[in-house]
Amino acid sequence: MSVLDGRLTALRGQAREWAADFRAAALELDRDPGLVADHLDLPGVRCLSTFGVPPAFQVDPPTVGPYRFDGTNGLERAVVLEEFAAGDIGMTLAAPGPSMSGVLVAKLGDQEQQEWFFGRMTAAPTWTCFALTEPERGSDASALSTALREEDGELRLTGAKRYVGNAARARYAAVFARTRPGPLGVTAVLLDTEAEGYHAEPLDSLGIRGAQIGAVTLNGVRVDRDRVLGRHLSPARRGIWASLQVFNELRPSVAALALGIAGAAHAYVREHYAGALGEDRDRIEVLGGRIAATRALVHRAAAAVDATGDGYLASAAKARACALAEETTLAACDLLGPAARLSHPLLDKLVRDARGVEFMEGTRNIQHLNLFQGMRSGRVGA
Amino acid sequence: MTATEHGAVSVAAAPAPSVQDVARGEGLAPALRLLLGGRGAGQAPRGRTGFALLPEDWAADRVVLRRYGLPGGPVVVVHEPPAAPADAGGAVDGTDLLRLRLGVAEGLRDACVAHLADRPSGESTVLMQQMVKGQLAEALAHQLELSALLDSGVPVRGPLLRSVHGQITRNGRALLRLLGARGYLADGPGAVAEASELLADVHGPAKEDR
Ligand SMILES: Cc1cc2nc3c(=O)[nH]c(=O)nc-3n(C[C@H](O)[C@H](O)[C@H](O)COP(=O)(O)OP(=O)(O)OC[C@H]3O[C@@H](n4cnc5c(N)ncnc54)[C@H](O)[C@@H]3O)c2cc1C
Repeated sequence: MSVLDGRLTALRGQAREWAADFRAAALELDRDPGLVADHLDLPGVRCLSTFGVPPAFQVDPPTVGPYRFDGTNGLERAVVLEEFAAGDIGMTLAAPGPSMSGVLVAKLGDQEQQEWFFGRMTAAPTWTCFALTEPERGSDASALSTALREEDGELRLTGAKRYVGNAARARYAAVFARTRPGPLGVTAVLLDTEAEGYHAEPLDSLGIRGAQIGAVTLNGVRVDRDRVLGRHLSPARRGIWASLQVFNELRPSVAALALGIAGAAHAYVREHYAGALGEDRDRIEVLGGRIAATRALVHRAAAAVDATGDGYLASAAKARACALAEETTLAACDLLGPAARLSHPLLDKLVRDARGVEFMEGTRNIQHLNLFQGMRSGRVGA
Repeated sequence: MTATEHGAVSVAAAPAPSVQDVARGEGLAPALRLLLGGRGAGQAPRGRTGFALLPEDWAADRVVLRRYGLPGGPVVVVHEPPAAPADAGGAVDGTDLLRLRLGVAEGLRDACVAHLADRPSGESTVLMQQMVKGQLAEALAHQLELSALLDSGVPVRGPLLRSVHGQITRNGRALLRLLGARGYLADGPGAVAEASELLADVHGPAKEDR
C-alpha cells in the first residue's frame, strides 16, 4: 500500500505537470548547461528556488490546491524530485535554490544563519552549491584536507573541491573544511562565492550536464565567523556527525532522482514500442513492477528518515534505485533495437544520466557498507 | 609464426597486433582503423540504420553528430542518408567488433587499477579495499571468460552476439563505477567506454537476426 496521502498525491500530480516543461528543454540544456538562465520562469524551477526553505522563513509559501508544501520533509522531497527527474534531472539539478545546502543550514544553522541564508533564497532565485568532495578524497570524505585556519585574526579557507554541482554559477557555497585533525575537526561554512580567492570552473561530464559539476579552488578565502555553521553547537554535533545526519536526509531524494530516470526510460519504451508482444512485452511489464517496488522502498526509506533520522533503509533504496536506473535505461535500448541511442536522443540522455546518480551522495559500495552496519546493529531488517 | 631470412640470421617477425590489444593499449580510433582496415575511409561500414562511429579523419565531409576526443585520436558519430544501402561498405565482422570492445573493457580495467592504486582511503588505498579487490577480480574473471569464448571458435551470432555485447557493456559499467566521478568526465576513460557502447548500439543485430 502506498504511504502517500491526498496531499502528497496532489503534490505529485502538480510536479508531474511542471516536469513536462523540464522534458521539453532537456536536450538543449544538456547541450548548453548555461541555458538554465533562460528557464527561471518555469513553475517547476520557481518551485525549486525556495524548495527546502523552512516555513518560518517562507514569504509566500507555495500551495497546491488546498495544500501547503515547502520541501522540508523527506517524503515530500522524494515525491517531487522523482517527478522532476522523470522530466529532466539536468533541469532539476540546474535550478537555483537552497538544494543540499538548505538541508545543511536547516539542520546546523542557528537562527541568524538561517535568516541570512534562507532570506537570500526567498529574495530572488539564487544558486547554491555544496562542496564536500576533494580531488584526492571522494568516498573517504571524513579525511578531507581543505583547511579553515585562523590567520592574523581572520578565518581563511584553503584547499580544493571537485565534482561540485553548480559550483561555477553558485552565489553561496556550503564548504566542508577541517580546523584540526580527526573527525571532530570537520566543520562547514557558508561562503559568498564573490569573495576573493574563490574560483570555480565547470567540468565537462558525460551526463547530468545541467548540474554543471565543477572544480573549486579556495585560495585563502576569508570566512566571516558568523558563517561557521553550527557555531552554537558542540564540535561533536557540527562535525562529521552532523554531515552524516544531513546525508541521511538527502539520500532518499537522490534515490528518487534515480527512480525518476528509470520511470522516464520505462515510459519512453512503452510509448515508442507500444506494439511489444511476447517476451518483450513481459520484460516491459516486469520493469514496471520493479520500478513500483523500488518506489515503495524509497517512500518507506524517506518516511523512516523523517521519523527517526535513520538512513539505513535509505542506503538500500539509493543502491537499488541507482542499479534500476542503469538497468532500465539499458533494457529500453535493447528493446528498441539497433541504434536506439542514436535514433532516440532523449533515451540516450537518460542512459548517460542514469550512470551519474550512482556517485551522488555516496556510491553503491558505500551504501552497501552502511546497510551492512545497519543489519549488524539490528537497526534494519531485524 | 613466420620467419624471415636476414642473411645467416633467422628473425621471427612479430605477430600483427590484434584488434583487442590495440583497443586496450592504443585506443579506439587505431583499433577501428585496424578493424575496418582494407576498406578505406569512403567504404567505412554503417549500421543498418545508417549511423557509424569512425575515426575523425575517416568522416570526410559527413555531418558529425558527436565527437569524442579519446586517447589514440578522436572518433565521431556520423549518419548517412537512408537512401544509401546501409551496408555499402560491408558489415563489420561481429566477432572482431566484440574483440575490439573487449579490448576497450580491458583498457578500462587497467585505468581502474592505476587510478585506484593512487587514491588514498583510510591508511591504505581504494585499490586495496576488499570490496574493490573483489569487484576487480570479478570483472577480470568475466573478461577472461569472454576472451576464451572468442578464442574458442564457437560461432557468436544472433542472440548470443547480442548477449555478449550486453555483457561487455555491463562489465564496463562495473569498472566505471569503480572509477568514481573520474569515469564520468568527458575527457576521461568513461568517454572511451561510452564510445564502445555506441559501437554496440550502431552495429547490434536487429530483432529478426536474433
Ligand atoms: C553528477 C555528480 C554530481 C556530484 N555533485 C557533488 C556535489 O554537489 N558536491 C560534492 O561535494 N560532490 C559531488 N559529487 C562527487 C561525489 O560525491 C563523489 O564522486 C563520490 O563521493 C565518490 O567519490 P569519488 O568519485 O572520488 O570516488 P572514489 O571515492 O575514488 O571511489 C571510487 C570507487 O571505489 C569505491 N570505494 C571507495 N572507497 C571504498 C571503500 N572503503 N570500500 C569499498 N569501496 C570503496 C567506490 O564505491 C567507487 O566505486 C558529484 C558527482 C557526480 C558524478
